[in-house]
Amino acid sequence: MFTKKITFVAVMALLFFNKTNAQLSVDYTPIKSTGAIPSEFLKSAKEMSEAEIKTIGYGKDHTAKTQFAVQQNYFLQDLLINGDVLINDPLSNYVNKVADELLKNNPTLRQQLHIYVIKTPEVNAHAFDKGFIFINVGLIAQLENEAQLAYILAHEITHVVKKHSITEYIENIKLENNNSDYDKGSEEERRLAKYRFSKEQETEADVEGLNMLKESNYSIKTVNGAFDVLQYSYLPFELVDFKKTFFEDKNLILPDTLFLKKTAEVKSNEDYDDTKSTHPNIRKRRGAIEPDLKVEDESTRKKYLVSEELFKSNRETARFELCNLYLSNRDYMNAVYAAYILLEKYPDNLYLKKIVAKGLYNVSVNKSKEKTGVKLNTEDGNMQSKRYSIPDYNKIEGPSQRLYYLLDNMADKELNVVALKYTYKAHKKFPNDNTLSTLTDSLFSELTNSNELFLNDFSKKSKADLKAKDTVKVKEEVADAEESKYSKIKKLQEKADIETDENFIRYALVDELKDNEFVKRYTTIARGLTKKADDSNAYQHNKKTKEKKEDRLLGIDKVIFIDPYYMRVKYEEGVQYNNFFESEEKAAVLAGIESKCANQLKLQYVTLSTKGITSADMDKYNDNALMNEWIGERLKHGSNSDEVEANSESIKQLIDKLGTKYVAWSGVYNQKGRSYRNTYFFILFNLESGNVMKYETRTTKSKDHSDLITSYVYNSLMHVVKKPKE
Amino acid sequence: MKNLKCAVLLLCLSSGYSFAQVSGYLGKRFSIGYSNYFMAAGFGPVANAESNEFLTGINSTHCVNMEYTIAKRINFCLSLQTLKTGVNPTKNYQKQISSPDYLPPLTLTYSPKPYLPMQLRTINIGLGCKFFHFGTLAPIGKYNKLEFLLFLSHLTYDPNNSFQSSASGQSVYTPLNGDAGDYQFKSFALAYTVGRSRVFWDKIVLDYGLRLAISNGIFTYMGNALWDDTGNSSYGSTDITKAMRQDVNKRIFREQLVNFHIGISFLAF
Repeated sequence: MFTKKITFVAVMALLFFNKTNAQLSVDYTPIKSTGAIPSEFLKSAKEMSEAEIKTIGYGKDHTAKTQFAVQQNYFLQDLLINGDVLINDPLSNYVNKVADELLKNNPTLRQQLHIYVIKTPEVNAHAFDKGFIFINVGLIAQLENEAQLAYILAHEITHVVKKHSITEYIENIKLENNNSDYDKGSEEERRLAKYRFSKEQETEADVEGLNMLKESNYSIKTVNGAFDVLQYSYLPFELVDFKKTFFEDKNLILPDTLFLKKTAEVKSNEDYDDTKSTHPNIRKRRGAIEPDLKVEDESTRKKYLVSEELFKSNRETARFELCNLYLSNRDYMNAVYAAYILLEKYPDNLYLKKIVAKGLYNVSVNKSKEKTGVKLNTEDGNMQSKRYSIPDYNKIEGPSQRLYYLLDNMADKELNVVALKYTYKAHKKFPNDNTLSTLTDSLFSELTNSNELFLNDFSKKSKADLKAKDTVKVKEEVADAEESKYSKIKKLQEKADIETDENFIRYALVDELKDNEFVKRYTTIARGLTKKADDSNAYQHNKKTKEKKEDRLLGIDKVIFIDPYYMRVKYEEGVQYNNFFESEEKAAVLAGIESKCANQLKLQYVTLSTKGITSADMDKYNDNALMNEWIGERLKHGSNSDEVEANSESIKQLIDKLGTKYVAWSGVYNQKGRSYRNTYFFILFNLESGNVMKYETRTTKSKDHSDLITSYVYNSLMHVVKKPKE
Repeated sequence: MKNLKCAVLLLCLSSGYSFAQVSGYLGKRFSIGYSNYFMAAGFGPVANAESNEFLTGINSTHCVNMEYTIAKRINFCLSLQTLKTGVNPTKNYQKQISSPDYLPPLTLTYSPKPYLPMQLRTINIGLGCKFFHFGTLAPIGKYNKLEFLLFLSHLTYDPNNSFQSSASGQSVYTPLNGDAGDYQFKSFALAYTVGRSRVFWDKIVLDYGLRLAISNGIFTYMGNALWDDTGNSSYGSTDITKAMRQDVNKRIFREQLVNFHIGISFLAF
């Protein structure tokens, strides 16, 4: 009976795995939260803090504990509602199953824990004393087996059980005030003592975590592998040789000079200086648990208790997610390389091709801007420029270094052509995909506007054809003594081109130029018939009239309001204290002001907020998550609106759903030191084009009275709603 | 007054076209209200002073003001003010009584019984602009205001209260100028205000600050000894009207020099 059950589970898992793989060979849809929103997400930070403060009592360290409770709850609540946390998704469900196995013998502790996966590319996990544990997608993507995940969970659970966060917080305050029993001394000595204290806690979590793992049936010898994961976390999840053929075809032959013959070896320094680190170095961590690694029953222990297939399928999901997360985080090199690794396995995956296309496009537009010297930052209160540049390839280890070197050393024109060719090929393969189609047009636009390459800059004949023709012609030309000087010049240039690799892009689009669609689209862009997003041009026009961007009238009739930002801080003796309670109240007031002003101006609006959501509002939660992700990514681009966002497809669906493409975000940062200083900001994005339609900041030396804020919000929205003169 | 209304209307209309991007407060740009400018009567008597001691009492100017937001941080201000204060409780004036030039001017002392200073009433018209601080939007926040003030002054006194000192030391009633004790003068001032305004309940504007004004009385001071009209010293002038004009100018200068103000307005449209 038992054997039958095992077989059934194995078959089902295999079927599931194969089904997943079959899906992945075609496309991938980023994971979303599903089901009901857990109750812990629905409580306000104030509510949670007040409840916790009541339990603290008036004993020793009351003030520090109260401060910590408030800070932690606000930080936690912010994390829970910003949308990065995944709920009821395959990754979180799997991680929770592993936790169930780990704590099979301790159900009471298991019940106290809330374990989630968060959409972050860093290889890390963290815990809150309140029982919340967050595992990053980046970590799952790197793990080798389930037992390693179990050990990492055990490590984090130990932090929770030992209340390490609050202990460290209190100790740090004591060290700052020089009244700690842990260490006394100079400021520098006490600063280093803080790191030392943290490291001791980490070691304790390593050791106690191992003990916890021993109580389960997970393999112990794999723990060392978990430290390998941490040690080499800066490397991609797999080391795959980057082949130049990835971009090449018979017409596009990249010169060998663009490829590193040998890539930098992976260094294995586990004994780095950890004096100013919160964690001990890997050698010390390995050393601390080494005596406990040997267990007699290792042979009966397993690497997988939940399911190997499930682990592998979830790790694959995490890797797919990671590509998008890299893109969102503007880590284009890692995004392209991660997609490259996965494309070796799933060569026809649309999602991965789009990742590569987007990555190449974003690198390309930044390179072009660098060359043309387009000033991304402007003087009239615009967002600061944050130009992306490819990280120094000398600092990259392993085979991915080749990709960094290639894209860094390619000229902007060359990269533009390579990106166009790759994207157009993908577009031809997936003609119904709007993203690839739009990206192709954008790359055409880059080619003509920034790099000034037109159709006649490309050869319609391949190098091979021209070489053959050249041989024939030489024989014919012997008799042709009447050839003109200009014809000779052209022939000589052509000959030089054929013989060298330098002008390789001239012959890159031979096949594409035979394609009517390609030629038509290129011609249309080159003639300026297809213009880029309207508001970008409008902005340029207004710039010419010396009108400040913040003064532009936009004539928009509907916007999306998202939760406003509000923070009141106080400085006392150089120390910053965030007044979370007041900030939360004032944020609600600011949201009310927005509504009042919009009503007064007859501006239609929809509010995308997580305030007051119920467990049934998962759609709202996901919409908010998507919006936060988009805005977070867009802010990283600064004033460069040419870059394409990772979730451009999903955001289009949201635009349709909410009925407008404009999202307004406002906020206030009020600080009280010797005097008050109040900063208000208002940003209006066009979700479709990525353009910042309006960016306004106002700073005054005054309190944040609501009438002042009302006047700001009204003024901002007035410019949004009022129509410009014809 | 009709012309004034027309001017305001034109200003509103023109600014409506020129400054279409001015938000005001919730779209309201015009306010009308009352302000009071006040200062302790340190350097001159109040209207109903009962002694020669000036340190008691408060001089107060009542003001009806209208403001219109013409630019993001600029309010145009028009005000009508009225001030009542006292001048010269005891004062010597020199008067050339008879025609022979060789005779010294006759000294006449204005010394009202019961004690009451000369009464100065002014109606002031103020035109100016409030410039709100960088980062704020009119009509809220800290501002600096520059204003031109025109004073239409009306001085009244009891002509039966001036006396000529005789050789015997007895005072003999002698009319100051043979008139009914009623003079009208004009003067002007340039005022600078530092203030702050807030809006409550989206309709009420509370405005407060400190105003410094320099009137043309400063020229009188520059031509004469400072602060000399409170005792028994005499003017060099033999022209009583001129002397009184100077007194009025000096009084206005002192009264307007520093004033606090507080006002309340209604955001109309």
